[in-house]
Amino acid sequence: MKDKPKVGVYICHCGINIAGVINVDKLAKEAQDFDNVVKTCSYKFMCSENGQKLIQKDIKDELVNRVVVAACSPRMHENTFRLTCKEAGLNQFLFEQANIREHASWVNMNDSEGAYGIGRDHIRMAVGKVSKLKPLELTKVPVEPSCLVVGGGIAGMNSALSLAKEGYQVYLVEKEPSIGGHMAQLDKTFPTMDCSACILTPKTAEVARNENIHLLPYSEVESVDGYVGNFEITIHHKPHYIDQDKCTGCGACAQDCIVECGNEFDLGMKSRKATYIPFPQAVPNKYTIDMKHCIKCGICQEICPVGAVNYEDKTSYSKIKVGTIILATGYDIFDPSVITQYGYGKYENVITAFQMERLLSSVGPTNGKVKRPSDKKDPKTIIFLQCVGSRDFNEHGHKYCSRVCCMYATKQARQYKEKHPEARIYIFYIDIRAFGKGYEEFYNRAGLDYGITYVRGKIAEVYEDEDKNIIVRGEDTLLQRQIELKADLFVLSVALEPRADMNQLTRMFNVQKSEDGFIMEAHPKLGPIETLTEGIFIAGSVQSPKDIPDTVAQAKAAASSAAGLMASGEIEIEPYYSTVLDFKCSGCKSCLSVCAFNAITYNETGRIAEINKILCKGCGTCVSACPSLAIVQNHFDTNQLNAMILQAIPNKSKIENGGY
Amino acid sequence: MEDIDITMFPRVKRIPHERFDELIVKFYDLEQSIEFDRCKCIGCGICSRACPNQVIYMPSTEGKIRINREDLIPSIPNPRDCSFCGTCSYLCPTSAIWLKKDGKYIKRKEFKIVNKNIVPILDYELIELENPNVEAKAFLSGNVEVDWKKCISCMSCVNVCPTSCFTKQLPKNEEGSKNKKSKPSFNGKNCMKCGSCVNACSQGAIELIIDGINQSGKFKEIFWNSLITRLKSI
Amino acid sequence: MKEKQKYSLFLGCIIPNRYPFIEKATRKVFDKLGIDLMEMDDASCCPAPGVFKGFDIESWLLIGARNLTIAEKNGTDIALMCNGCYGSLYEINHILKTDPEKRAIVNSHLAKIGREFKGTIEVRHIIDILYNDIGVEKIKQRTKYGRKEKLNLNVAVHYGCHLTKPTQNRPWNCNVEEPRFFDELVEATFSNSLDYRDKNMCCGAGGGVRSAFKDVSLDMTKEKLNNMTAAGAEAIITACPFCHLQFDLGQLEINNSSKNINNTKYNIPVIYYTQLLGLALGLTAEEVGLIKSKNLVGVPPFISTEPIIEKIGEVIEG
Repeated sequence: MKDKPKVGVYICHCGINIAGVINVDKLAKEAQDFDNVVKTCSYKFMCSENGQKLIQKDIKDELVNRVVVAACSPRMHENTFRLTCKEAGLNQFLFEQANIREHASWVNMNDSEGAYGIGRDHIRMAVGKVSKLKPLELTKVPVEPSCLVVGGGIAGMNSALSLAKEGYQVYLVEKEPSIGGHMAQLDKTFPTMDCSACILTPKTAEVARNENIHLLPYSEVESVDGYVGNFEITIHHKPHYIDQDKCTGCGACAQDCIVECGNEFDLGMKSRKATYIPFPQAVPNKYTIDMKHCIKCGICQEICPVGAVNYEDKTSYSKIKVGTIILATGYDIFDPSVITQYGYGKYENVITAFQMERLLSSVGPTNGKVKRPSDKKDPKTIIFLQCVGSRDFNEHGHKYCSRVCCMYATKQARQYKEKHPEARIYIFYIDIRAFGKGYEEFYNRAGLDYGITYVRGKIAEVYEDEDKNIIVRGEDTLLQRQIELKADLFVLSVALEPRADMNQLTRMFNVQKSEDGFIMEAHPKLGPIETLTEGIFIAGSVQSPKDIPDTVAQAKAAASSAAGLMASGEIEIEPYYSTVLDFKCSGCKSCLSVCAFNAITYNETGRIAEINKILCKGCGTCVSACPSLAIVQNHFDTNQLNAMILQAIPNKSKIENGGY
Repeated sequence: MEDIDITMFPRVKRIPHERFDELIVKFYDLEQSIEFDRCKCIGCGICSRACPNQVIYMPSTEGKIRINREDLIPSIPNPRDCSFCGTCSYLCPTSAIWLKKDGKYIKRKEFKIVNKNIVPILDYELIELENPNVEAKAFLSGNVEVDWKKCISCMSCVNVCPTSCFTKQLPKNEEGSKNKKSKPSFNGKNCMKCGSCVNACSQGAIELIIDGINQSGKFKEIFWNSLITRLKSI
Repeated sequence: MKEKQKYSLFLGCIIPNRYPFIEKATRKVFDKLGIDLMEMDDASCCPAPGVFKGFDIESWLLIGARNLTIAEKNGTDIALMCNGCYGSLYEINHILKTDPEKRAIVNSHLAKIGREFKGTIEVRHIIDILYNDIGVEKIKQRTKYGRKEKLNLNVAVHYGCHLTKPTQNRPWNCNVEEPRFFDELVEATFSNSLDYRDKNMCCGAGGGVRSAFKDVSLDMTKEKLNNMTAAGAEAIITACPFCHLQFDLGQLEINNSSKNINNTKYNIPVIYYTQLLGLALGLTAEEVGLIKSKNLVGVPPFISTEPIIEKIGEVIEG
């Protein structure tokens, strides 16, 4: 049943975003003369309730049966207006949005006439297309009530626990042998000075106990297939060389192991055996053999009371199906050796704040007594330098602020002062960012009660004297004079940076990175949890550096968003898929090789190609590849696109008369 | 003292001494170091083959023709990978490799691989070497085979052989005119099956087939058998 | 046949008036490297980036633009040997190329003397030409010690100020806090460039400090000399005649100063880079102007370069 298209054109002022550049009233008047247009109007904010009511009234009055809204980018409000149409009783896919903001007014702010011309063309093209659109229906697919959480740090664990409490199955994948992440490496946490392990270990224990959480330690995601609601994940499990079911965590193997190598948990500062548990409170509390250092001497194999040691262990794989994914892979630590003038890697007593954190830790390499590397003496003067690698516009640095460094330096300074009240501590800063709850008070006490000296200025030159003391030269900008100090220990507050394998991660999950290298959220203000890929959420420092309170908040929010998707048990897939017209298909298989989403298969019996409408993302490549023109695409069909092209050309009569 | 890499921990340093280089791997609670004595090394490469994690590298002799003993001294490019197990030190025929823990030399009998019977006791014959002037332990048995067709008379084998099994042939002409094309001669009587000649031969003309190792006492099969396989793969 | 590279050599003030052998060494070296250096007739003071620019920017732009037009008439880029001239002429060229208003004002004055700034040339320091155009590798191949061991002359390299800053207007792709390009050029002549404290510090001469506050400038020079001596420097290598003068004449002034209570006598020879490079390329000490006739007084070099020449001579003989 073909009804004659009656197009309504609704032009949005978008405040002054559009109306400030384009004469919208004139445009509305001109649009009256476009083909099939029966009604035009303009309104200040079409997306508002009143604006939407304008459209709905016209639909209900049967004045229009096709809607064009000329406003912002469809990425902003296409869904809004579709629902507007749907609520009024019009099929939501008989709607087209013309972008006259990003494409016309915003990019031609000083050229009103030019912007007007582009806006008018866009509207005319939209009108042409909408006249040819067909009504479509959303496809409903079931959603697996399970979630893959990638990363077992504080973010991943909180997301997993929140989801598990709601009854969903959670697969928690962690690449280290134990969960806990970077937070397990911290000693105390600001601003409460809670011992990090004390607040973390109950969570790790809870994760291990929870029946709905399937903990997959020492594993990594290998590949991701499928689509929202139905992701097919392949995970590879690295070989522990110790049977994890048999291992009781007794430690007999480690006691007799003859190899001593670096402990990654302690950033290499302390030694461990080749067979090890990363830290005493590790979950799961089972041993792993580091094959790079193991010499396969056979001692642990002999001594293990349950015979768990197996040198022939191999990588294994498992496949799971999940409905949603939460990425919580955390951050890496900036390596300051590229900033050569700070002497890191040149002078022994220059360390990073993370190495300082391990020194302060009571289970660290020195059991909590900070000793400087060169002669193991207690430092009497410590200097911290902030913004190493952060707020740095040079090539080697990051432009962003790492958010937590001002606070962690203050925390470490306070910790050291508590044990050594006579020590002198200086913190060189650009700005002190103490933004969170309780942070300003924490910082204030550090200066007033603990006597930590804050010097506003960066350090320009660093060198060492014969006793390996570090001499720094900087500028005290508040007193407007130069300052030269001698320190026993020089600590660099280094930046938090994106993980080194971020490219691999984003390609595998098909998510985007923002300019700073972290994962891009769907919208910086209104969508900090979602990514642009439906069904994949982010939590924690994988999105941007953040402190523990914000990480936990984001993790719980991500779990809530994932649950929201899984709660109804099904989701709607948009109908942009392509279909093969079987009577035209010649079975040449050209389309199979061009499909990037593996959505096309070849039916041997019928000798035609078939497209899976769920996997199909509507990119259109197969449509143009097919030599028999046998593939049609919903909502972007050839005649619909041709209509747009024809409308875009100013002098149509030449074409219609066979001119071109 | 040269700091090889003090950005990460453990910190890696190199202290050059007169006869050897000391490679130190330094944690906060432990310091381990390994020394290669240049004057005692015969370039056999037993340490490199025996190392369970392939951490010791023999230098590449590609493109070189006149190879000397000094060209065959091994090195450890990534000291952080070393497990300090002592296998290399235990098997070194001339005791050119020494391990230290926290500044003190570890005696061979104190190696865990020794006192936990991971390796057997080596039954060796003590040989006095001339070049270098040290005592060597010969504990391998086997055969050296030379494909003389490949020999180009570079004399590298003569340079490196610690027991002078390869010697320059005397000139046939009494007046001493050198016959440039004369190849060295091989007499395997004193051969200690070390394998330096195999490493030195620029043309790959020498083959060493090791068929046994003189040992006695207990050992762990899983370690020792795989070590023997590696030793034989020269 | 490849066309020979041509530059207009800008001399500035100190070189023609006080240190002529710097020009001689540069000309000889560039001759050997196959680069033509044309004369710039009627060139004047650059004008100085500290003193002139500090007084009146328009005059500074105008005088500099006049110098630039001489090279534009020659049709070649400018090659210069002084950090100060580099700072001035590079910046003036850049400003006049990018700011149409200032260009119009300057051209209106230049028109009175029949000149016009067109913005057709670039301004290059010879260090830039040697490092970025010719390259360290090529220089290493050409230097005489290529087949011999290191010269092992321990030198302290002095970058100076305008050579590296302002960083966004300089052709060096490096960490400006710790630049290496000049050290690399010096090490291509098989000298050992030492690391010394406060290597990036100013020599003390520029900005009118030497003229107005001689004591302060010599204090700064003394600090640098102390650091260089502590590191074991046998010579100072410069890329700017003003720094060269400050170190050379400055040592004499420090030694003779009434403030010299400890009676320390500094005696480190100062060598301009092209002199060092010339020696490495096989030129004689006379050709690069390192030898001063015995009967000349009151002319540089004030600190005797003879010990260096002897040492280099030994290595040349082998």
